[in-house]
Amino acid sequence: MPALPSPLLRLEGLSKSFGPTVAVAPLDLAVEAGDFCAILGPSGCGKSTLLRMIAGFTEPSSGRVLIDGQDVTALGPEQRPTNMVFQGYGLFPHLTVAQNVAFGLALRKRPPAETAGRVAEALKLVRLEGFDDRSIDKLSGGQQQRVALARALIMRPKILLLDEPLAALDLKLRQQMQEELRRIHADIGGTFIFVTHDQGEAFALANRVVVMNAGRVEQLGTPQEVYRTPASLFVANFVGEASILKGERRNGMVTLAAGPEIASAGPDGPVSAMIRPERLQPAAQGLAATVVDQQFLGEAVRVTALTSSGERIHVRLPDGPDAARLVPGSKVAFAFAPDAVRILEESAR
Amino acid sequence: MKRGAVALLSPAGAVFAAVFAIPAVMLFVVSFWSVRSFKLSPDVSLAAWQRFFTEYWDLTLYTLLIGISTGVLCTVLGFIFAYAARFRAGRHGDLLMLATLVTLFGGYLVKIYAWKSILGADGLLNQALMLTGLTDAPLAFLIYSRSAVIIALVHFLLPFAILPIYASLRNVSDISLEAARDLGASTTQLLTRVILPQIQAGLFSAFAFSFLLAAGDYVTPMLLGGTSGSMLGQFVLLEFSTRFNWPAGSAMSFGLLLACFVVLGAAGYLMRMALRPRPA
Repeated sequence: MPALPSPLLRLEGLSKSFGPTVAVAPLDLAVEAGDFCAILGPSGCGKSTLLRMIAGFTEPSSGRVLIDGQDVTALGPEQRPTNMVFQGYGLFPHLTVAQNVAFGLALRKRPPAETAGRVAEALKLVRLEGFDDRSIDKLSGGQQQRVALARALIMRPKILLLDEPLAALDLKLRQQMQEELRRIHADIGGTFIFVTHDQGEAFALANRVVVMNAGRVEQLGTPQEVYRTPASLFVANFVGEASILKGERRNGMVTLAAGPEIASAGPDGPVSAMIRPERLQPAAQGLAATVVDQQFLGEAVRVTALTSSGERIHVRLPDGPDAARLVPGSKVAFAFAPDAVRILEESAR
Repeated sequence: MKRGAVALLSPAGAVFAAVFAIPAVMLFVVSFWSVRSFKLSPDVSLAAWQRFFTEYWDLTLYTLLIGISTGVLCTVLGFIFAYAARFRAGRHGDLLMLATLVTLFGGYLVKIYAWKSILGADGLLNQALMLTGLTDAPLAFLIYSRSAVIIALVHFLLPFAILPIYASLRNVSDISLEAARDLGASTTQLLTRVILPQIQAGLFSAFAFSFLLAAGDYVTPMLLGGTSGSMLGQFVLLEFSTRFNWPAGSAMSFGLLLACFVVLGAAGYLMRMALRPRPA
C-alpha cells in the first residue's frame, strides 16, 4: 500500500471519562500541517478536555495521540512538541515580560545571545517591542494575551494550542487579536488548534472547524461546509442562525408542514429542512408566514415570522424598502432557491 | 496621607507609642547608665555594652545558632506541609490549616513538658530504645542539650511558619504551573523557578517569625537546655532580676535585637539571590 502523506496530528479512538461521566467519546481526528483548526462547541461539550489531551495535561481513557507520526500518548506536556496559550494566560507574575517569554528557552539552557535574539523576535511578532522590562501586572489584558502567545511561540512548537484565547477580551480587542492571530499564523506558517464556543471566532480564524457536542464530533469541515451543509440539527442550530421546518419525505419528495414541497432523494420518513436566514427572500409566493418581530441590525434587518404550521422562521434582509414592509402582523411569502435547503434525516439529531 | 487615615491610625499609634516605643527608648537609654550596690544612676557609661561584648558574645552566637536552626527547620518543614496542603490535599487544604491553628491552643509549657517526658532519661524514647534492645542504658544527650531545645521550639513554632507560607502558596495560580510544565519545566524547576520565587514574602515571614521567637526564648532552654543548651534570654532575665543589673540586661537585649536584624537582613539577601530570575 502506498504510504499516504500522514497528517501532523492524528487522534485515534481518543476518549476520556471522569468516573461514569463521558467527557469525550472515542473519536478519530486528523489535522494537517499548516491548518488553523477550531474546535467549536458549547460549554461542557468536551472541547477543552480534548485540547488538554492533545497537550498532555489530561491522560486519555483510551486511544492514542500521534504527532508527526510519533506516538506521544505516554509523554507529559513538557515532552511534547506542543505549546499552549491558556485561557487565564498563566503568566509568571514574578518575572518581567522578557523573562516570561524566555522561560522555556532558559530551561533548555540555550546560549544567552540566542535566547535574547529569539525573545526580541517573538516580542516583535506579537508587537510588544520595548516591553521587555515591564512587569506583568502593569499590562492590559490584551498585552498579557500577547505575552502568553509570544511565550508559547518562542518554543517553535509543531502545534500551537490555544484554549479560548480571546474569551477574556472585549469585542474591539477581540477583533484586533483575531487579525493578529491570522497574521502570525500566516507569518510563521505553523499549525494552530484552538478551542472556542464562539462560532464567529471559529469562522474568522480557522480554515478547518471541528464542531463538538456532548463529547462527540458532530462535523468536521471548512467553515463554509459547516455553515452551508450542516451534518446535523445540532450543527445547524449551534453554528449561525437557521430556520428548521418539519416535513415528511415520500418517494423522493419532501412535503413541509408549512406548505412548500422540495425534491430530495432518500428513504421515506420524517425529515427536517434547514434554511439559513439570508437565503429567504420576500416574494409573491412560497413559504407563507406572518411577521412577529423585526430588528434593525445596522447593515441588515432581522425578521422573525411564524409559518402556518406554527414554526418560527428567521430571515435576514439588507435594509431597504423590502425590509420596511415586513412589519409585525403583515402576511408575507418567502421564496428560496432549491440549493438553499438542507434536508436532515430525523436520525441525525 | 489623608486626614481620615491619620485619625484611624492614631489610637493604635498612641498605644504603640505608650506601651512599646517610649519604654523601649527608655530601656535603651538605661543601657548607658551605671549601677552601684543595686542602685541605678544616670550616666554615660559603656560598661554594660563592654560586658555584653566580652562576656556574652559566645552565648549570643549560640543563641543565634539555635534561632537560625529553628527558623530554617520551621521554614523547610512548614513549606513541605503547606505545599502538601495547597497542592496535594485538594479541598481539605483549608481544613489542614484549621488543624494547624488548633495546635497553637495546646499551650507552650505543655509542649515543653511533653518533650521533657519524651526525651528524659526515663522518657518514652529511651524506654522504647531499651525495650527494642537498641540501647542498654538511657541516652543522656537526648534531653538537656541544644538539640532538645531546637526540637521543642520547632514543634511549638511550626504553625507560625506554615500559615504565612500557605497564604502565599494560595496566590500561586495553577495555570502558571501548567504553563511552566508546558514550557518544559521538570518538577525541580517548577519548584525553584516558579513556586519558590513567587512565595518569597511568605518564606521570609515564616523564617522571621520562627527565628525571632526562638532567639528570644528563655523558657524552653531553662527547662530543656541544661547547661549546654542555654540561651542569652535566660541571662537577660538573670541580670534584670537576681543581679539587678538593668544596664547589662538592657545592653544584652538590644545587642541581641541588633544581631537578629543582621541575621534577618542576611537571610533576606541570601534568599533573594538564590531565587532571582535566571538569565532572561
